[in-house]
Amino acid sequence: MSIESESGVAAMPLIDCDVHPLIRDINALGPYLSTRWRDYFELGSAWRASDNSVIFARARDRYNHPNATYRLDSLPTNGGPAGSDPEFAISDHLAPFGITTALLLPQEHYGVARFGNPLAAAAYERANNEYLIDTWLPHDDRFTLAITVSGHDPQSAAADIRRLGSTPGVVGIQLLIMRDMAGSDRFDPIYEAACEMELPIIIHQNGGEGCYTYSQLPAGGAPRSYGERHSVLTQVGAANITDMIVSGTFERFPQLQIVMVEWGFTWLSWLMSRLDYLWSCNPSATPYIKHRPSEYIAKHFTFTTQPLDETTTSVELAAMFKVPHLQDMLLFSSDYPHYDTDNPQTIMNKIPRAMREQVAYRNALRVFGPKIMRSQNSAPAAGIGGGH
Amino acid sequence: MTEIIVDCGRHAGIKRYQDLFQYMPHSWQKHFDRYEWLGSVELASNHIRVTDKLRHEPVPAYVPTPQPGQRELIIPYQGLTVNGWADRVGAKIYLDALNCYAEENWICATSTLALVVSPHDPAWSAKLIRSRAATGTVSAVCIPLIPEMLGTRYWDPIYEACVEHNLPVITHFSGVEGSYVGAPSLSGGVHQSPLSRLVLMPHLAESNIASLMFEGAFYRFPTLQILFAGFGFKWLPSLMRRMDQEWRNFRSDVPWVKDPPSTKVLNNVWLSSYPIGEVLDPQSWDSEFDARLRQRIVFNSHAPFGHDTPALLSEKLGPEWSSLLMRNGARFLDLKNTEGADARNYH
Repeated sequence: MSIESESGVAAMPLIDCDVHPLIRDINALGPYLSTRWRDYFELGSAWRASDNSVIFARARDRYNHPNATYRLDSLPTNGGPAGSDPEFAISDHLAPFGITTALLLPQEHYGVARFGNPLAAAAYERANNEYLIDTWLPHDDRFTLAITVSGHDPQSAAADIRRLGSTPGVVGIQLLIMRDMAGSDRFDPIYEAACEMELPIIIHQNGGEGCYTYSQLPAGGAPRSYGERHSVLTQVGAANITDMIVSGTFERFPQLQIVMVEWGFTWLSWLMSRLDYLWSCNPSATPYIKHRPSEYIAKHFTFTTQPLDETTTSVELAAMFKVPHLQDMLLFSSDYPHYDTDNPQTIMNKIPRAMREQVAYRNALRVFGPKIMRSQNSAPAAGIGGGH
Repeated sequence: MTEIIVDCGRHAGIKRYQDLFQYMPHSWQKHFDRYEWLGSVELASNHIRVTDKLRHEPVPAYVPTPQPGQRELIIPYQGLTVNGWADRVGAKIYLDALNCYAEENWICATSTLALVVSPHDPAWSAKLIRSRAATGTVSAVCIPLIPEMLGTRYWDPIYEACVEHNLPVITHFSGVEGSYVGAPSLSGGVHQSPLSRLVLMPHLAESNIASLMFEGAFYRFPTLQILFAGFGFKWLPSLMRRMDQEWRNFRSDVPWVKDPPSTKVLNNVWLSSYPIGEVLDPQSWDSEFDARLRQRIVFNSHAPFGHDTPALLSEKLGPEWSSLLMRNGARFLDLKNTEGADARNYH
């Protein structure tokens, strides 16, 4: 199976910017923890088994998934939770769709967003990052990794970015956001390190939004059900974009690139025009920004496709892609192996032909650099045929 | 024929809180007769601060001026801020007085009132609605937003009274959301700028629409109509698609929701045009709004805080769509006179 380019003839590379690996057995993190931290986690709740054999962010009595968070057919044949077997991920997802690169966004880290102890958060993140570097990256050069850091201790996170950021296969920084908005200067050490290492920041939902007193939340009050909450979860992404622009983050870090994963994109047209209009009504409302807010979005943000809105008419589908500058901002993603994985071929066929190459790989190549095409050592800018 | 102008969100405020005393029991007059409250009238009228500037311009007083071909729905905006009040008992006394003042001073042949009710006491609010519905001055019931989402059964007494009297609900942010304890939070975390808060206000409408849909409120009250005023409308198609998608995925989790949420949006929810300035390049997005969806949008000026005019509306959306919004507004204001479903539903 291959994805057609604009010409509709040649196959082209496909970079999947949202694939979630899990650790098959949480005890595998043991060697990556000091004795002190191993004792800490073994005695604490983090080590206790759950449905996935791992910790996860959501409290079990809040926003339980009505079915399962993963696709039943993504369970590895040799056992273990979905996303825990690199070889199965290749045979089940990468190979059938000719995926050139899978950007791994580790999800065990998402539970860290509720940690109160910054030292424990750093130890856990470090162990998890190092485990994935040692196990998934050598397994196949179609895997690339976003190492994960949180805002618990920005200086410590920055040190980890500098220590691991040049590892072959590491292409980005997944930043866990908690109560502080992404535009807070609290994150400046992290952004500074990311710019220095030429790595984009990736922001993905961590599952804790709307659950904890110190996590971010959708507007209003507490949604009652999983579907209701999921309908409005995109708001948290929009809020952090707004905060980063209004707080002048990109004036402080002109090279910073932010990849927004799984927040949707069809609301962007509204956000861009609203920001521009309200700022134009009163530019002195924020002393930090020097350009129209939508220009910062176009220059510094990219957005992944999954979950692609389902439309009922072709007119609506076409309208959905008319967000200004979208052809340079959209990246393909599947969210494999989660329950709402988008089928690469189905989704790419819905992308307008004129922007298909950008969405498939060109935009990712621009944001992550050539190292995202790890499996094709010297990737030219265009004309690459086939995947694996 | 002259085009009718229908403003479904015109704000009015009092200049002196002392003017409310005549509508309060004496003991409550004494309670409110304190410098910090009386002196705050100008701050309260500073509806939402886009900046943290130190100087506040007084808001012009509203003087009803009947004009042929014009209709206005008056929102006593100072009532909305009770969603940030700590004294919920006092808030009811205040609202009662404010509504009385509004009925006596702001209503004329072409202006009707959005009766502001207490979000903290639905039973009391239902009683208030029933007592005022017969006056003929009330065209809608205004609910200040609190963290209790609009789809929950908490609001049923208010909805029952509204349906009983064919009164639509209108809701509008007060400006204290995301700031005061007791008022709903905005999306994300703590916002560093009032500009961010203003930008993100429409998320309150999104969340409450999602709540109404997933809680099945319109199955309990099939004829209930709710206008989200002042939140704009461009974001609606994206929300409708997401809600339908989530419903398809998880309808077994919410078996009381029998249809795709978008069908209820098209039958029961209204949005307003303000701020029309955020509407740029309609040709790049207006195909997301089919004929049915366009029937659910009304014009509101947001005066005196905003300056949207029918002329600006026409300039931004074109004369045809602009004219439709005015006709939609007339349908909305006439809901109270409609026994059947004709005015409520386009189909």
